[in-house]
Amino acid sequence: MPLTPSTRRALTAAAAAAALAMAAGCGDDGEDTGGPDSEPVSVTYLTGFGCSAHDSFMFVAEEKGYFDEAGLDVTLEPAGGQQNYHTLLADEAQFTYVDFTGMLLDVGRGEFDAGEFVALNSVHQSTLVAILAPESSGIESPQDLEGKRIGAFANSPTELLLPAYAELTGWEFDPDLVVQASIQELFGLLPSGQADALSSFIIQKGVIAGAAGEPLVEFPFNQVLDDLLGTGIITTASFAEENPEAAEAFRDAAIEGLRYTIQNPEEAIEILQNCDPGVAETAEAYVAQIQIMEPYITSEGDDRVGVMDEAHVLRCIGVLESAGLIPSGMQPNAIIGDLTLLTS
Amino acid sequence: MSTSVRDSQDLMALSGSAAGAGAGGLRWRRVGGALYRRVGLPVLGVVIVVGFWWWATWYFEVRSIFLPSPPAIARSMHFNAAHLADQSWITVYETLAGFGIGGVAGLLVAAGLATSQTLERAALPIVVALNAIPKVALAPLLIFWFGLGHAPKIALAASICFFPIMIATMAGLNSTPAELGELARSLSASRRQTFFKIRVPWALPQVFVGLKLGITLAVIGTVVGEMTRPNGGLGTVILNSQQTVNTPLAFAAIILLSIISISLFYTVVLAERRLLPWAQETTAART
Repeated sequence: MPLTPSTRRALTAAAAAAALAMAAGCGDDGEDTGGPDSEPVSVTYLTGFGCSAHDSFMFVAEEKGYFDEAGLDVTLEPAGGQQNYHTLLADEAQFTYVDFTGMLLDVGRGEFDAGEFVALNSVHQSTLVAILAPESSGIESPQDLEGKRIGAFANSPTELLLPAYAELTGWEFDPDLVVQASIQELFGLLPSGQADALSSFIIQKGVIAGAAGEPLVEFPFNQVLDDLLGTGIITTASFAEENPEAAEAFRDAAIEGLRYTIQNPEEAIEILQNCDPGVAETAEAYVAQIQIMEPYITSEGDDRVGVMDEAHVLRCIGVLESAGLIPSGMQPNAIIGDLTLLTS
Repeated sequence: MSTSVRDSQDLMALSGSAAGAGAGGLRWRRVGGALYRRVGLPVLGVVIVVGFWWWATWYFEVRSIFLPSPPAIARSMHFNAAHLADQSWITVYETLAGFGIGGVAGLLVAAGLATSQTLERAALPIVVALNAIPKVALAPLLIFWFGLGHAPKIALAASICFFPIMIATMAGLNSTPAELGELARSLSASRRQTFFKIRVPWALPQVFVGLKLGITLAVIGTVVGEMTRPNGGLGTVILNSQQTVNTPLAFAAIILLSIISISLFYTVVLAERRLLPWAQETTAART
């Protein structure tokens, strides 16, 4: 029977204490801070969306040696989905990439407790969700979406935020017209005529346009729902508490990787082939996704990369509460912790 | 006269000592006929199917994202040759590891249940219930139990192929004719001798039925695991290809999976023919 995470942590702490005692006897403090002169701290990062443009900055950070400089030995594992949270809680990995609005929804649904995970930094500082429709669909404004079939990844923020978006843009939302699909099925809904529009991440608009065979009309949610949060990196509260230096070092190295990626998208996609050599065949599409990401990694009036605004988190919670998607009373500390890189 | 008998006679003609040019010409015609039936016909079938596929994508102007043409798939295969080769080996390794574990477990459990009616009555319903669990639902849990890496995928492959191998083996072990059992008792054979010298040889053809079914299921289990835990293998290639709707690459991976599945299946068939030469001779197949 596998050890529970708490038992494993207890045994690890006991082993660490014994090691410390032995090292003290040898005249060494034995504490591994993960700095450049000590043994690298081994950690694992789970990608949020397989080998995609979303996570390309992590492969850049590894390739450019930012993690090595920070005293970290990082294993990058392609992954995705809700199971990433559980893999972190099972101590099989320490970091992953999430959509923060989706994370608040998960806390609200009781998938895990508030504060069980902490955000380290943002990647996109506002929501990437957008509705995308083919130009030939006749949909020219959000109001034209009334009565139209909208495809969305089942139970994701791209589906759950549709009623709030509809209310703010003045059209009547019909949940029966939502075409739920898996990630793999989603892009095929438009060319197969099973949906009139898609609710998805805007960085995928090039791929969706290619699948649809024509240009798209886009309705980004951040134009009316700019209080929604974007994406970023999280760790478990327990790991942050037990390894604050390693978590901070990882966060800062990742942000460096993100900056380099945005400035050098072609090189970043070449590096992404370390994750999936199949990227090479459609490299242009991946480069286009990074280029779409660029305006989202900073916020208006603030060109700092990776920061999060606690007030923004509170406003996002307010939007989700008013939409009835989460219970009232949630606070920013549901996802914000001591190691979160805040604007102030 | 059956095709296989005629083929065998034609091939035996190669080593024959027929004299004269006329007899030699007849021999080559027979060899050509055997090659045509064994190799030419299947190849012709594939060529016709692929040709029709190519024509249909051209004639009906089918978009590549729905059904790529054979040349598009070939181009993708060529472009990604090294990558597909690497991922194919990962899939083969995980499949064989899972098949090995599931196969050994299936054989041992079947042997245990076939030798004890009490054990069979107690354990078989539990085994059936465990098999009824959808393996796709297990896939995320396997990551927590076995960690990241190949282990969860191997475990999934093993869990899928275990049950058919176990059931086929049990059926074989329980199908020993009563007369042979009586003969063993009349010769004062022990239970162990009866089991290994009579029941097991009699069960082997059924065992191989289970193994042939199990090897193809092991491929399926591996691919499901690779799509759930996308860190390598042809299942991961298929999943990742959807990031940019690269359907030709997905089809290239699917074709390779089919080749792997067929190859592994016929490897088991070949092993059956080598290990059980008497099975074909003593059965009434193709009469």
